[in-house]
Amino acid sequence: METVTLVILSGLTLGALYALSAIGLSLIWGALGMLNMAHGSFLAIGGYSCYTIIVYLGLPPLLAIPLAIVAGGIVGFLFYVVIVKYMFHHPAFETNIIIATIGLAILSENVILKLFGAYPFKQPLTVGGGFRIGEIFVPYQNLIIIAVSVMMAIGVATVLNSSRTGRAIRATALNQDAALLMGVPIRKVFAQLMVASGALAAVSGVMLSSITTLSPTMGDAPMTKAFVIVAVAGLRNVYGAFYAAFMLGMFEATMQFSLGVRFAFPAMMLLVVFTLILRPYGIFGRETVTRN
Amino acid sequence: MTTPILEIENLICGYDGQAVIKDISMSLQRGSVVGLVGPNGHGKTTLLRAISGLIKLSSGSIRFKGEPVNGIDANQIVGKGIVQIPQGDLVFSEMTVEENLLMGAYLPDAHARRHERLNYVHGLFPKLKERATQIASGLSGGERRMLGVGRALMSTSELLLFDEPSLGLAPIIIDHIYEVIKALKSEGRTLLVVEENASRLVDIAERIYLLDDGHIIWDGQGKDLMNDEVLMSTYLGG
Amino acid sequence: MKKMIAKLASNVPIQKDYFLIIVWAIIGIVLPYFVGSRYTISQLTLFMIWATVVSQWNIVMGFAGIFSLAQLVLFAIGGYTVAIAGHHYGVHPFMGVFLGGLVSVGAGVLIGLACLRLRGIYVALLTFAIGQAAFLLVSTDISCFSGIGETCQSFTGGPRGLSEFGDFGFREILGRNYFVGNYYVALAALVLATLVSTAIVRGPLGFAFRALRDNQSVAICAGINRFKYQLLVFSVSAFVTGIAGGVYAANFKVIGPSVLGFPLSSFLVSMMVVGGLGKLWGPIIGAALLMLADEQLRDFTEYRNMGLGALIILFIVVLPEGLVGTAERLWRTLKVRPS
Repeated sequence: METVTLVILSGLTLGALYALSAIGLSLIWGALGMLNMAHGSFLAIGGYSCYTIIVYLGLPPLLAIPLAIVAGGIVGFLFYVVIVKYMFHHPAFETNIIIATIGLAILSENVILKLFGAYPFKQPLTVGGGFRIGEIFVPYQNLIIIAVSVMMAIGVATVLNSSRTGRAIRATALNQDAALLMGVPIRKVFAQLMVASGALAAVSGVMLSSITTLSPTMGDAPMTKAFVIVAVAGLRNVYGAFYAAFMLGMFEATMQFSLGVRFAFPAMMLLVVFTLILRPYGIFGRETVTRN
Repeated sequence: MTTPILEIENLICGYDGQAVIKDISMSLQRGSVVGLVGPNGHGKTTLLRAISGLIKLSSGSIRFKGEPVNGIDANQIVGKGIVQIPQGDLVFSEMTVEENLLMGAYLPDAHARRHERLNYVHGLFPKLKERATQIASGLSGGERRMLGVGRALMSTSELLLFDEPSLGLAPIIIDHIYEVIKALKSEGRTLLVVEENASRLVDIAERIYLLDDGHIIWDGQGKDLMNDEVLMSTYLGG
Repeated sequence: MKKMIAKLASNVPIQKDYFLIIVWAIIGIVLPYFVGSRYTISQLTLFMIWATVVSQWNIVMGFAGIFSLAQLVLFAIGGYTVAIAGHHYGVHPFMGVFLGGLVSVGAGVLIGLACLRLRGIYVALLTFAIGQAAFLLVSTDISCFSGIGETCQSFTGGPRGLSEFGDFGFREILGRNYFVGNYYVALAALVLATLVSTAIVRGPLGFAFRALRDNQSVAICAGINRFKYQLLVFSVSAFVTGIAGGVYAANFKVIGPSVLGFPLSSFLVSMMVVGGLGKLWGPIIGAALLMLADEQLRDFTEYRNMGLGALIILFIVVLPEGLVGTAERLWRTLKVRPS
């Protein structure tokens, strides 16, 4: 019984962390058709911003979160203005942006490394304490992470589904020409999305580092998991990403307890690879092959 | 005579440096219906795309209500009051019918009046009200066309560019669409309607332009075109 | 005779590329007689290994349109095959290199079957995740496989990597100059790689991929099966890449999980981007330039990876066709314009 509770708690926490990183990634993928290989470094930037604000600027933790979000938004905006803006008219945008973001990822990881060093340290923004279910200690921090991911998913989905801006974003994702003909300023929409994605990444980074540690490569593993979620499920909506993230989290937690931590992710990849050989259209039967 | 609502002068444009529109001049009077006909692949859609700002001009000018609009971004041209109903419908396939219509009222002016506009469009196309919550990709061809028209009418624009309203539709639906065009004309809107075939336009259009290989080769009244056997058999298939 | 000349003439572009390979191979063969220093020869050996890898990666990514980020997994498989077979089973590295190529093909076919029916961007996602999984698997491998107690060694060597599996054995023949032997092995791998990529680009496969790129629906109607051709190219490149990995391991007499790390893949990506992705000779020229730059900037190693990132961004934004692609375009416009 204890093991089951522990697996569920661990699975929900992992799922929440993956959902947090998958949402920002899928948002700009859905609308711009761009894969951001630097998303992991955006998570790290969010985590380190929060750290800097608390430790170096000495500001109270409650102020650190909004400021980290602002920092993430600025990073997203700079990314758009310096790189994306000049690329998306190129016919090979989809592949070129992957290469560009690989460059951006190694650049930002090494800037962080230069500024803070490789030694991992603890995020000061943590909530101590917890309660017990039977023998199992449930830290409040885990509950906060799960709650934040649920709130973020609901928030993003609400904006996308029932606001004027959200409709414009979805319309731009479906057909850029048609969106322009409705009067949607698609460049502005792109810039807004990059800002939103950077801000969401900052929230994820703060949450992620509050339960693990801060390191320049802290975002790589969650980003990889987010990639797998996206590749298997074929992302169209935020809820899809959300469910897939929790399924993956539960699967990984189960694997960790049965096979051991080191085989959990490779076992999952093996499962994914064989599933895709047998069912190339994705596990949920979506036509991922012809998606636009 | 008042200033035309739309004036095109010596327009040249195309794709990849290849001119598709080779020197076109034309003008539209406010409140009129103007037809643009000609064989397929000779630049009709390209001309509409140029007016809407989706492609850049190589040379020439486009004026809307006396003010030049060439070089302005497509989304801003919509704001000026030129709305296009594109060919192939271009509805937002994964959004509901109602969400598609609301996209037509994206700009602030129309957005403020979206409920009123929605009632107006539902009045013209009751089908769209019935199907409000349905996903657009599940609609029939005729319903998609209605949605395309309805979406454009959500805006309060003065000039409508209509690309091949009768393409691929059953005659009964074409009749319906042309009824709506007549109604729009009586409301005082200006329409530029592109068709491959002139027959539907003859009764309704004040003026018809015949486009061939990027040039206007004839313009005048519909009945004169129908009576010109040479033009009819050469360009419009009888 | 006339027929033969006509045939030769019709094959001019092919002839030109094979001729270039022969010329470069001859230069490569005589080079050690002119540059004697051990350091230079070793750097040239490394250059040829990276050039082999990027020439294959380029064929896969730039030419066949497979956005694979798992190319270094295939490289690592080749290297680890040499190391594991040598360390645990006493297999000679020459045999190991060949074996490594074959194991790489096996892995390549599996990855290809899983990924290649998906749309381009999904291939990037999955292959990236496969690379991460491989890195995790190797770098956390600490359970004993051979030996006991103090000498305990895990199957892959874990985070420290695997050594003590022998080398090509040129020490017995060439003595002190054994590194020249390694140089020639790497040269052979590079010649094999350029022959393979030339055969793919200039041969019927090249025609098929160009057709797919120019007009996909027409190409598919003409019976060109993208999946089948991509799988073929992916497997062939896996063989050569695996061999390069084996040569790398035997040359350095050590291999570790860092070959699967981000800095190395960024280094190789920047070679392709600087030289020109999709161009036959672009990545090899890129490899030479990047190796030279790396050499010149040895005093700034702490900024090396930052510089690589900036370089990749700069080229993909400003010169997405790379140096070779841009030069070709300038050359064409100069030729068209009457002077």
